[in-house]
Amino acid sequence: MFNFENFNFYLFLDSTPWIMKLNIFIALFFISLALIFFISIIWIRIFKIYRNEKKRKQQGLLIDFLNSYLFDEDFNKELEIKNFKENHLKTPLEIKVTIKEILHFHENLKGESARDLEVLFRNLGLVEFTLMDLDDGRWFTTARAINALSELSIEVPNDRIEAYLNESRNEVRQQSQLYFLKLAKEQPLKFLDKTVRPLTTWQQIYIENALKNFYKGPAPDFSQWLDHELTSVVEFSIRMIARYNQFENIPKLIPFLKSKNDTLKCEAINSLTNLEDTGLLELLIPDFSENSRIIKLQILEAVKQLGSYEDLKRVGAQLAPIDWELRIKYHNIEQGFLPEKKELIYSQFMLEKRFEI
Amino acid sequence: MGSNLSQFTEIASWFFLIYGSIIISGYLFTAIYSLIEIRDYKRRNNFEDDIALLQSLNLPAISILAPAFNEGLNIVENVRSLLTINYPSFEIVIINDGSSDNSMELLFAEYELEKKDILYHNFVETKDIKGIYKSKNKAFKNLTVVDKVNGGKADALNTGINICQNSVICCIDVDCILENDAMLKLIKPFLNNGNKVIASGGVIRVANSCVIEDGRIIEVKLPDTFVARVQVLEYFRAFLMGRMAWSRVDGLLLISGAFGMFDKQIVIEAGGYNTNTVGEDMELLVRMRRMMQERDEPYTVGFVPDPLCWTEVPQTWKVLQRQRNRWTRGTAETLWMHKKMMFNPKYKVLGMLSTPFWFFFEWLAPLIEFTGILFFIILFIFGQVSWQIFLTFFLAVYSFAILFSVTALFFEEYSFQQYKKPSYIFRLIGTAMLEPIIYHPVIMWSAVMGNFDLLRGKNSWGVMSRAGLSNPVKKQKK
Repeated sequence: MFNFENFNFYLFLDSTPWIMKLNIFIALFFISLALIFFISIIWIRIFKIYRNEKKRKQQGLLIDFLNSYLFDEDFNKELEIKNFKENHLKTPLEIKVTIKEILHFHENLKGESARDLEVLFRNLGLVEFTLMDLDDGRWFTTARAINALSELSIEVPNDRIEAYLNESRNEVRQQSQLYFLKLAKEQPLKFLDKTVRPLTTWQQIYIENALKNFYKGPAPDFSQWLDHELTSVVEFSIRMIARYNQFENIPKLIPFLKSKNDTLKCEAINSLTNLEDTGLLELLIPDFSENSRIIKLQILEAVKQLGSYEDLKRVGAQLAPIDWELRIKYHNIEQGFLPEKKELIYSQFMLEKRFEI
Repeated sequence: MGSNLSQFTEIASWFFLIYGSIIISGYLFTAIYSLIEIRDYKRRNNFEDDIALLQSLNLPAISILAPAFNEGLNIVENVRSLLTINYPSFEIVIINDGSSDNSMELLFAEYELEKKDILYHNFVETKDIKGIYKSKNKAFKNLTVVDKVNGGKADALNTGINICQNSVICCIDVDCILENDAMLKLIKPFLNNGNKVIASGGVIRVANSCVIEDGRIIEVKLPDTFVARVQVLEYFRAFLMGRMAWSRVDGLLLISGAFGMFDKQIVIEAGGYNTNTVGEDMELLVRMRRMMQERDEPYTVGFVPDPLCWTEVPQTWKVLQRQRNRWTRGTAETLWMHKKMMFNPKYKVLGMLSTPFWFFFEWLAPLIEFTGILFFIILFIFGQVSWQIFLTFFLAVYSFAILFSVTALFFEEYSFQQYKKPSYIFRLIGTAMLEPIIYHPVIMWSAVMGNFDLLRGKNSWGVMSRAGLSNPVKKQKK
């Protein structure tokens, strides 16, 4: 049996080889760390259960409160808001849940009810809290604050949000773009003039989505950004000209057909195709072979949408036999023009493919 | 002899100690970077609701490629599950890789397939296609089924690449269970990045024992078997710790073959999946990245930590050993094929960090561990074992193994907390304590045998039997 009474720790340390001491030290260090993580796991679990319970309670309260506030005519708004503010908006969690829940309600309501919620948001003093978040300095808190402001159409001086239009984080930039767009009565894309960082495709999708679903004013003339310094802004504007059927801008799109930038050229062909510009094919077909693969595919798409079988044949004459991707597209379009020869075209293509003619 | 042996013992002991220290430092580095990346990801996604975008027509169309070989047991349900994916524009391409069961007959009957003359070209060389089929039923207009001569998973995926219509492809295992918004989340890195994104991958989770309804995970449960349960921990470590960290430093070398999205044009330019390796998923990504680096084109690879895809993991030792044997061969083959990249500053993070890490700590680790055990046996035979030192060494290594798993479990709790029942935490901790003694030696042995099989020229996958989804309506995977 190990005799604990006679055990001398210092003697043990002196008599133990260093490698053993090192191993024991490392093992103890790892075990301590593992214990810390284990305790953290338990703590996180308990914390999340506790927080979720609190959230659930606050949400329950809010559902009743908001429903009464919005739809119960006998509801004493002034008094109940005061009560709610005093009793249920004391902790940051309660404030966060309340903001989230109001945003959630707001998302599903329109007209007067939505405006009532905006008023409630102010009366509960949540604007002040959001503005504190805005100035918090941490990017994710700032982004969340801008998100809340734009969702509830709460205006703050423009320069406070403009500062974030060219922030290094995509998320902050996106929220500030959406803020200007959702609050605009007119010129919803004016912020583009101040944008110096490229728009990602994701941001472009969000902007278009917000333009369609939130902005109620007249559509902007997208041609004003055709000479923007950022390719992504120009690309977006070209696309929007077609989406908003701005036929009057067709002449302004034509120069892009000569652009050295494939992204812009491709977008211009796509937009002019969608705008059914009758002169487009005559500008594209003669120089077909001088284009890149992506532009050639786009031209073929334009021929499919706007052209005739004769136009297609003119393109076909410029196709190299080994351009298989283009040839597949070509023959697919050909099958569309000549449905009666569909099988023949297929057989011929497969034969050529087999022998790589 | 005695002094020679003790000198050798001294040198070998130092070698194992230094190697162990480096490996531990490597894992600490991944843990720290993963924590930063997960925290960042959570912050990025806690105020936005991207689901609204699923109505948008601006999202690029995706081709989902799912190879199938002898999946007759579940193919109909699996395809139905894929057809219900929530995304505005997608096609599903099922590639029947010369199955010898009744997969094709079942698909014909269920989805009213008819042969179509679809034009295609072999941008990547593949085995012959017997036929391409589409459904007569408009409800399944997104579905294309390709029947081809057997050529393996890589060949089947290459066939899908040749046939599919869209410029973004998503390669998945046909029996994977995807989250509703999986496609939207996986495509986001492609659209929200300043650099060109050539691929993006997601986290794979263990579906064994989970409750599944209509091809969706309804309730996440911990697997009943020990073998599957350990893999829950392994997947936490691999995805939440390893790949998140590599993603942070843009050094990812692997996107799981079970679920990954790629830029089709780049895949074709890189030459498609390599049919001469059993690690085709890793090899493809490494080749794509190498090509981009050599072209000096700015690019990146995205990674999404959300649990987007659930898969059934092996739950018998035999199947598990085959799988790990194959993974080892795949890793070794890939590293060998791209040995030029290792310690080559031209390839930046990939050359100076990722490939050396994979070489020394993924491929070499089991071999060194095995050598260490042999060394111990030799010492034991010659009576050179100091049991006190051995026990303290063992304690240090064992405690690190526990720490590593507990840290991974902490990451899961901190981030997604998919295993809701409090009892699961204790079961996972218990599993973590048993893993180094029961599970790890088997994995190490499989890796050693994988290397041995590689030297013998073995190039097959081995039979990967699965329990599968037998009831699509409501089913708990056993």
